[in-house]
Amino acid sequence: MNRLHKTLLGGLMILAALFLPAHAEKKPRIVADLSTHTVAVKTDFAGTRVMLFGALVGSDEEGKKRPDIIVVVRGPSLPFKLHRKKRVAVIWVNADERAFRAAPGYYALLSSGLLENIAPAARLRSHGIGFEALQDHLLAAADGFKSIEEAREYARGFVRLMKKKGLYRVNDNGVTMTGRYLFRAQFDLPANVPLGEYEADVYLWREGKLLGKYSSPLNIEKRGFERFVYEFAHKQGLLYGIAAVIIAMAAGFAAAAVFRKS
Amino acid sequence: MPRCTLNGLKSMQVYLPIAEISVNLYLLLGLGGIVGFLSGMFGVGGGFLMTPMLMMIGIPPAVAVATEANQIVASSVSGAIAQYRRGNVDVKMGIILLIGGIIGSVLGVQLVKLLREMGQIDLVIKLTYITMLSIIGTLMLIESLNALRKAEKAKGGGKAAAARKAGSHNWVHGLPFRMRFPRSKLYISVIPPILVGVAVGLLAAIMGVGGGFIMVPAMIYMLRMPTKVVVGTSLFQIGFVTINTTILNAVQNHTVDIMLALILMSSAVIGAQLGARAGSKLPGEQLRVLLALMVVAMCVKLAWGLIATPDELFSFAAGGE
Repeated sequence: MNRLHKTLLGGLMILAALFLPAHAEKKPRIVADLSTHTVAVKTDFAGTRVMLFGALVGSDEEGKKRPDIIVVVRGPSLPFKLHRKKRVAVIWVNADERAFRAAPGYYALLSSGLLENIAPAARLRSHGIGFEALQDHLLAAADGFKSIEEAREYARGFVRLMKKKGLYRVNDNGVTMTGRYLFRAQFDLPANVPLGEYEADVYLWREGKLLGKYSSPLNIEKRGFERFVYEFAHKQGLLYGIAAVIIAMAAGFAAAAVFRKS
Repeated sequence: MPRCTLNGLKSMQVYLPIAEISVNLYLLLGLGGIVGFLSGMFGVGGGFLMTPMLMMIGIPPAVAVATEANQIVASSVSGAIAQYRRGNVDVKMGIILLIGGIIGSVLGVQLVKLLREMGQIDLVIKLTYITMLSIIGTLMLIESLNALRKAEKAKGGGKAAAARKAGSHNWVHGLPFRMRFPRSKLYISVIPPILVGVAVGLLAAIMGVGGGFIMVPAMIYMLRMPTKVVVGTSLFQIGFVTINTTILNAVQNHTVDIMLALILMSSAVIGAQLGARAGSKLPGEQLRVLLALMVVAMCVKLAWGLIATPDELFSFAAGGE
């Protein structure tokens, strides 16, 4: 995203905000866009940063309390299996295996301030925002658990593991307001980010009330050589295996030949 | 703009299409080179070092195991050729071992499938490693230290008394179906080498290794092959067994990452050549002490991993992520 592009986009949004009919009592709406809608995962992919730009439109914000903005980025829904270790004699063993049928493969929670200052925790949770709501979602998709308490422990463990991998992240400083109408947010996609369809949801709050929501899709996919290798491996397993062996043997013969001379 | 420095850093990272993660290129090259060197020196595939290391840097275990087999193809072919030129490969013995190896690896793949369904593959892999490495490591260490001491004594006495235990016989030499192996100066039954091959193939499939670390000692201590041909012959067998494993994995599990294998290979083949040279300059007894120490160290490391209280009790199950 270059600076010119950024400026243009911001300028357009201000224009849009200015020309739209502004009724005094109307609730503001959000328009937003991502710096990119497709992230191509290529050989040198080491993670990337995506920007989200947005504006409040449809209301006169002068003299009103500043709104709060929460951005939730969700990755594709995937099944997860977890083990919990237990001590058997002297060694630690994967004793139990439990599954969550569906959980987002990526989850970023960005906000323009501390969540507790934006709205009561219960209200955020009922709108499906935040890690408590995520845990509810996990519990609803839990498989093979003996008790709800056990499922809760696994859900907590799961979120901890995902945070450690950088796939679940929180940033209460992640949304910045510029003036009264414009805002931007940024989130990092680490290199191990799962591929698929993503969605960035922008929530607009004022004085603890949800005023509006805006969604923007994001697609993360393999491109070029990576895509070719991936598809070859999955569609033509035998040929791929033979190719892998031939490459390996060629490398072995080549090295032997090179070293014979010296 | 900071963008420029970011790009500089990025070029060191490489995205692996099947493992689906991004890893530092130099780290992979370094790992490949070191393991390749050891592989050429000792005639082990190096997989028992490489597979756990790949898992540690975040490669999914299934991909690490399958890709390692593919990489071992390159290093063992390269190593086997280098050894063959020095006349250190007993092809006849290698083929007998290979017959057992193919049987073993096919059985092993079935066993892995079963254990994976039970969710206990990780534990079985580690316990197998610990059991194998502790027995072999201890035996080798004792035996090689004794040999070293004897060799030194013989040097003092003038004549090479510890030349070779050509006359020594054990139970292996009383079995039927005997065959002559001129290169190894042996006339023994084919049953023990086939059984060694089966065991190695089985372990190769379960542990994602070539199996040299068990085959080399078995050849030395059980079959009584001369140390000189042991390394080359085991590389010969490992090459073919890992070709089989790579294709089986590519077809059944789609877990062979060509990109990762290529990177590891490019440095490992060079390492293997250098290792083979270094190996031929060092005396066999000292090599064996070194290998024994390495095996014991790996074993202690793995055992500690199972005994120490983990920081995190939860972990993602293989294939469930």
